[in-house]
Amino acid sequence: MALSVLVQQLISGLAMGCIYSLVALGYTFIWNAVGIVNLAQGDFVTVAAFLYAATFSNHLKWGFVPALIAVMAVMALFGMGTERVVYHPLQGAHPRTVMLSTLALGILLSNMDIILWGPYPVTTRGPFGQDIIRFGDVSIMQHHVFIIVVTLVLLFLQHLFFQKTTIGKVMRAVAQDREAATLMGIETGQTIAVTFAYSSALAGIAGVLLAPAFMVSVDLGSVGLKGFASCVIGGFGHITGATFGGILLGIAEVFVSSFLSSRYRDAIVFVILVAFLLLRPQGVLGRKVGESL
Amino acid sequence: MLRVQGIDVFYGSIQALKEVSLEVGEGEIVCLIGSNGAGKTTVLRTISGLLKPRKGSIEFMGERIDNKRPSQVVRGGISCVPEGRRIFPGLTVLENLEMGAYVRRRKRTEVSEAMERVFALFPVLKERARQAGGTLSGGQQQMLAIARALMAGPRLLLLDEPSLGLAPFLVEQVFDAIKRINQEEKVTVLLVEQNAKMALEIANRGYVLVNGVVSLHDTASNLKDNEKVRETYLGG
Repeated sequence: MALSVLVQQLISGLAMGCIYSLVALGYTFIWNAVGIVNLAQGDFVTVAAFLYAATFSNHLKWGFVPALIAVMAVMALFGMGTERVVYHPLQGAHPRTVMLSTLALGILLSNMDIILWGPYPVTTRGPFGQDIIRFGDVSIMQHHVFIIVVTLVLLFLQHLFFQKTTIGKVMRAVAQDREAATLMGIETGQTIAVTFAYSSALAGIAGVLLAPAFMVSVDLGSVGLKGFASCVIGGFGHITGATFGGILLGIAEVFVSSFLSSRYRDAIVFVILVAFLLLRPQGVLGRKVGESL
Repeated sequence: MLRVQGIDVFYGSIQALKEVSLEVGEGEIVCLIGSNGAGKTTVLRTISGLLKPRKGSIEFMGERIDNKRPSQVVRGGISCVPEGRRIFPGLTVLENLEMGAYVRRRKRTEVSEAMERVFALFPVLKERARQAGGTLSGGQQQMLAIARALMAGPRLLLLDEPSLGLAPFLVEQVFDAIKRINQEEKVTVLLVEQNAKMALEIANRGYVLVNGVVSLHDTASNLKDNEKVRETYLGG
C-alpha cells in the first residue's frame, strides 16, 4: 500500500477515533460520578446529530458555530433532565436498576427520533461539505481535519476546566468521594446534575461533528457501543484512557476495513472488546474496577 | 454550644442510637468513647446532617440544626473529619484544602489566611502542597483531613477516630495538634475515639456510649479513675 493511502487512512481513522473518544468521555464522567454506565449515551449522539442536521442546519439554516452551541445547550439541559428523571429517583437502588432505566431511555429516544425527524436518513453539508485538502498525492477530507482540531481544542479546554476552575475541582472531588464532598458543604446533587449536563454536551459535540460525515439515522446510535468499547480498552473510569481507547479503536477500524474488508469494520470492535474483557478487563491504563456491574 | 437531646437514630429498621443526649460547651474538648459498633460514628454523622434523627433535637448556638442539610451545618460552623480520613486521593493537597474552604470560597483573604494557619499547624502539608492526597502517608493524610476541615473556619470540630491505623508516635502528633487547635485556634472539639486512653488524656469531659445508649458521662479525670471504664476501655 502506498504511503499516501496510509496517511489518508490514518487521518480518517483518527477523526473517527476522536468521535469515539468524545462518546467514551461521556460515559466516563457519569461513571466516575455515580458509578453507572449510561446506556443511552449513543442515542444522545443520534439526537444531537438529528437536532443539528435536520433542525438547526437544514431547517433553520443556522451557521455551524451557533448551531453547535445550540445543540450543546439543548443537550446539556437534556442531560440535567435525564439526571432528574432517570437517575435521581433511583438513587440507592442497585446500579443495574439504574442502568436498565438508562437503557429504557435509549430505546425511547431512538423511537422519538423517528417520530420527530422521520424514518429517512438526513444529510447535511456541515462547514466544509466534501471538500478535500491535497498535500502532494495525499488527499484528506477537510471535515476529518476539522473533527481532529475541534476535539484537540476541546480536550485542552476540558483539562483547564477540571484543573483550574472551582466547579471542575468540585466535580472531581464528588467523583472521588461523594460523602466527604457532602461534609465539605458541597451540594453533591447539583454537582452530579452538572456532570450529566457535561456528558450530554459531549455527546452533542460528537453528534454535530459526525452528522456531516454520515447519513444521520437512528443507526448512528452504534457509536454508543464503540464509545463503550473505547472505555473498556482505555480502562473504564479513566479519562486519558477513554480518549486513548477511542483513538486506538478508530484507527484499528479503518485499517481493518482497508486491509481485510469493510465487512469486518464493526466486527473488529467486538473482537477487541471481547479480547480486552477476557485478557485485560482493567484496560490499558485503568485500575481494577469493582464488582458493581 | 452544642446540645444533643434525646435523639433516636435508625438505619432502616435497626436502631443505632437510643435517647442519646450530650452537651459540648464553648472551648471544651469532649470525647465520646465506646467499643466498635456502639454508635459513636452515628452520633457525628447525625450532627453533620448526613442522618436525620427520628426523635429528639440537636441545637447549635441556640439554633435547631437537626433538620438542616450537611451544607447548612458546615456553613453554620461545624466541620467534620470523617472516620478513615476520606481525603480526595486524586486532588492535590492544595486542592483538598480548597474543597475544605468550599463554603467560603468567595472570601479569598479569609481562605488564604486559613491556609497559612493550617500550614503553620502542619508544615509538612506545605512541603507536599502540589502532591496528590493519595500519595501521602497515613499520618500526613490524617493531618490533611484535619486541615481540610479547619479550612471552613469551624467553631466546632467533629473528629472521628483520628488515631485509627496510625503508629503510636503519629497518634501523639495528631493529638498534640488537636490540643493546639483547641487552645490556639479556639475551636471546640467533639472527639470520637476507640483509643480511650489518649482521648481522656486531652479531653475535659467524656461520654461513654454502649449499644447506642449513653451509659456514663463525667469529667475526663473521673472517667479515667472509674473502675468500670478502666476495666472495659483502658485495659485494666
